[in-house]
Amino acid sequence: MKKQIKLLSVAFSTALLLGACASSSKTLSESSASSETSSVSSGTSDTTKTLVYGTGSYGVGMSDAGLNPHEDYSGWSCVRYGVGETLFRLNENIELVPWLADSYKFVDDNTLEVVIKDGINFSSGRKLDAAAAKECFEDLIAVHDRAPKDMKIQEIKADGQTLTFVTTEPNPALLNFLAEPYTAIIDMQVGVDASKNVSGTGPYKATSVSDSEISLVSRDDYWGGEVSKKNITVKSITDGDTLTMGLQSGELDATSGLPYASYPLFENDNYNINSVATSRAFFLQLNFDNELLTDKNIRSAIAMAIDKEGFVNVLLGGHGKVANGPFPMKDGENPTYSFSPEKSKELLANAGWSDSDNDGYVDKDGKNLELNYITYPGRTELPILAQSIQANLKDIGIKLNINSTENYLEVMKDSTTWDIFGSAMVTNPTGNKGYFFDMTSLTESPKNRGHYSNAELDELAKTLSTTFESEKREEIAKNMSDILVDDCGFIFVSHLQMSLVSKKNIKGLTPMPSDYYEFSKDLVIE
Amino acid sequence: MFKYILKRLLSLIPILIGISFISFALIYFTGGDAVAVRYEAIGGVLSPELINQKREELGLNRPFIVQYISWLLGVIQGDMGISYVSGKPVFGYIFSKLPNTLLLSVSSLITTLIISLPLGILSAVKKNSVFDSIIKALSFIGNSLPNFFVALVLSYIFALQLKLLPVISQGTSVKSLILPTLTLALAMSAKYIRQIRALIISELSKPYVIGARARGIKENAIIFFNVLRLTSLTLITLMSLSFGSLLGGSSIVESIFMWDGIGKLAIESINLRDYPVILAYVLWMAFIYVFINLMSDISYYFLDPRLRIGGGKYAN
Repeated sequence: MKKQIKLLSVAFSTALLLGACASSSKTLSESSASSETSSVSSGTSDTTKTLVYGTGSYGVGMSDAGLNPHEDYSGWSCVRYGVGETLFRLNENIELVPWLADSYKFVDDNTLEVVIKDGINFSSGRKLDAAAAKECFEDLIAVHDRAPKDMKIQEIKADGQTLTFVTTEPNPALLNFLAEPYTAIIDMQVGVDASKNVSGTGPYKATSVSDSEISLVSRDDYWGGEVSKKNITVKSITDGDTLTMGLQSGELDATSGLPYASYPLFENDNYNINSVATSRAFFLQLNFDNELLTDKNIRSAIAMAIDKEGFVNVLLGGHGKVANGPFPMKDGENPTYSFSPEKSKELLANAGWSDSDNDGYVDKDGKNLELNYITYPGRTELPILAQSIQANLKDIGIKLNINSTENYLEVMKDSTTWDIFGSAMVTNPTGNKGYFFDMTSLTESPKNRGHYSNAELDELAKTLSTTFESEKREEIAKNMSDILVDDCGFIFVSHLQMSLVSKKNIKGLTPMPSDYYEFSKDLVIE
Repeated sequence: MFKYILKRLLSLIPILIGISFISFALIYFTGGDAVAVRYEAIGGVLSPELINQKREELGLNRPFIVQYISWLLGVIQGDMGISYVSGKPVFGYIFSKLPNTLLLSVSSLITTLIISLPLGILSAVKKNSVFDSIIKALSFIGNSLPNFFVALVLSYIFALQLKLLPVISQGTSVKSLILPTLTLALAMSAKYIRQIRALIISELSKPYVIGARARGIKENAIIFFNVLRLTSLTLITLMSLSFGSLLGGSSIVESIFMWDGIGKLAIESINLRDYPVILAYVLWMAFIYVFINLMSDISYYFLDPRLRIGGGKYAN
């Protein structure tokens, strides 16, 4: 009987496992076959190819679930996945270029006239004219949280293909905001359905939308040219290891947001890795409420002690770009403060800090130079950066205590609890470089955590906000960036490099520095 | 019996109010600014005026006690509020994830019993044999391995190497259910095997077993008709606790396999300070633990004749 029990239990467990695997094996191969070779729609069989795309950047947690551009950050999904398009777009140099717009002119400081291209239809079949665009912008201004304050629109007029914006005050950045994904133009007569699906002008049309998945089909009436026939499924996958294994196992054809450690697995002939440096910067804000940090010698010493190259090339595995300011460095540009621990030590000595008790840390009046660093683990790079800087500062005799917490906003309310704040931010989301300064580094900026204040910078910001000529705006922004970097109130370490990894047969999946555009008409499954 | 069940169900009310009050207070006093945290988490920037306006819209600027009473009155009327993040009614939102979690919980528990019951019994019957030593070693290893590690190893073997199962859940299907089920079941089985083994060994040394053997009753009959029946009370308690824990969702396993259940929702809500969802989750957990304990108490009544005959507390 004992033998029988033993045999029975072993046989039962084995049968269960094999049975499950066998049945699933069958269904998996069936499913994979269908995704690669054929699909059935409306009762007729065709051979449309399907691309399954895994991303950590879609979903409720990212506030971009659904495709309704007038809600939260869902405009990003609408534009990223090729459903919606904006009047202007940002090119590979983060410069504004017309997209749905044909031409534009500022009639006066408060009036912008945009002529919309002729011959564009929404996926609903309706023609895009100024009246359709006006309906969309009016809804945007009525329901969106950020758009009214950004755009400062008083009135919108429509005449044929000419759309006129009248603003409440001079707003040179209005053009930039017309590239913001929340301004993606959708057919308001069709509106937004319960699943948050919309009808846009892009090369793809969504057939189903949920918080975790979007199904797209290519349009055969796209105004911008022929789109190769295909279906696309966008899947929200929040776990980096799952994303990696999904691509390895073939369940996914392409991904965005792979963990850095996974890239070597795909650096071979079976995959494409397309990368681009973005304007998402990893940077430090120093707390000027701490008297020690009002000493420029100490701030400069910290700036020169940080091994940015080491962080980017070793810790990020080369998936980043060394920063010298809020915006990515141009080729040939050199950092203002290059890595030099020796020079850092000299600066500390000039400020009266030396290691008198030989404990490895510099001291003054019997007190070690000890600083508190706060950051958050939400972006995986930030805790790594914190540790890297901790090691760098130890080399010059500064003791750094790290606090990496999701609750950092609460902790930072007490300004005595921190001295350096490590964070990440997209510094140039719309090609309007004034945005970064407005948000973080002017005396009244909402994200100026360290209470940095520079009268010259504040004055330049005022000038920038009323300057319309693009060359002059660029020049002012450059001056502002130089002042900020030179002052060392902010220390910019690196810019994120975004990579899209796909199977070898996927072509045309190219990332852009602005992070808004992923699926274009050029996306092809070979 | 009916009076007892009614009494236990009524006792749920003060328990749920107490738990909700403590949770609400903890969140209010330590949780941080839900609006600011949410926009920071996605790299967005809102002006202080807009943040204030959003706080006003969500009712977060009201005093603590006003917020709590307003929330409690809503819950009594079946309205658990609106998710700060998804904008959906919380009640429907959280319970839309329940079928998936329920399915995963039941399948994991059944698989656990299928694995652990025969192995636990055999290990006890063959105490100190090679087989017993191997099972002990395996259950020790199983107990030591964290769920995420088991999940990754299983994915590597069955999805990457053998290409038999998917890594990413493809909706609620059998093939998508297997790996998360196995991940949860392997860890629980390791624990259950040791518990079952210990229970059986303890029962086998009792006088009624020695007596039964002396009367010539076969060993398998003793185990199946006497020992197993008596150990079932302890097993039910263990299973109740495990089932309660599983119904709360297994956040790591659900996240790794993209299984759209309550655990995944809970972890996302905590990260985004989606307080209405977190509170609904806490209430749900409190409810299932009290309810499942009640169910297991009732099952004792049917399994243990001592409770039915005479002195049992349910006898009246």
